[in-house]
Amino acid sequence: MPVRVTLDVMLARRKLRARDVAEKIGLSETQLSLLRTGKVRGMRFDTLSKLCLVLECTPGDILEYDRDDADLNSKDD
Amino acid sequence: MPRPSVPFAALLTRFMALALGLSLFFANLGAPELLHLEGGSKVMMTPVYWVSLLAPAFYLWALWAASEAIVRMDRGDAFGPAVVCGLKNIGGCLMLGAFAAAVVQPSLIYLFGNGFSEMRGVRMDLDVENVTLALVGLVLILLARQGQKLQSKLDQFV
Repeated sequence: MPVRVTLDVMLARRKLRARDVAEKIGLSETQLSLLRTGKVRGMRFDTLSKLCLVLECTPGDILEYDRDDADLNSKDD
Repeated sequence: MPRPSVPFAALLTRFMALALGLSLFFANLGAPELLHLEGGSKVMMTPVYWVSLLAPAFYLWALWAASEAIVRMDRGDAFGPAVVCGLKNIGGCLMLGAFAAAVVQPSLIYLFGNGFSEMRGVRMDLDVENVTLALVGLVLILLARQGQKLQSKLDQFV
């Protein structure tokens, strides 16, 4: 997927542990791990806003987009 | 005020299932003229009486399954495995009930009527009610499957 989650980078910058962040935003460690490794279909806005609040950042700091022209033609499965 | 563990709709459905089941049982028992027999106790001895209870039994089972599904939905299960299973149960019971009413009952009653001496093909009673109930049951099963798929997709969102 061209949208990547760069949560690890922000965690390292803020010197926070994934376990603590998961606890603060009400996710399980497994869910956060899946999110960090990009093994999820998507992220809810409320999860994104909680992450931004805890990590003191904006969505752009934890999400990256690799341009791919084929995205316009991709179909939802 | 604490919420009741079983929602009112589920209680009502269970009450309806029980009341309908009992009334069906005793109505047939108390209406021997329906089967051209004399004496209520004799009615219960006839196989026709028990065969005639087949379809209603499935419908009552569906009603009971509906009450279970209402309880699970009230717990916020959405389209979790328990609710999906409940919906499939309701759909399956409706389809079985309709099949029993349309095919099994007419055929068996005919066979009992002639003492199993003659059977030419399958007897069918394709009422609008039976076909509608069977299709509603099928739609419920298909809806449960679609809901299960949507739920599993939704679960992939964190």
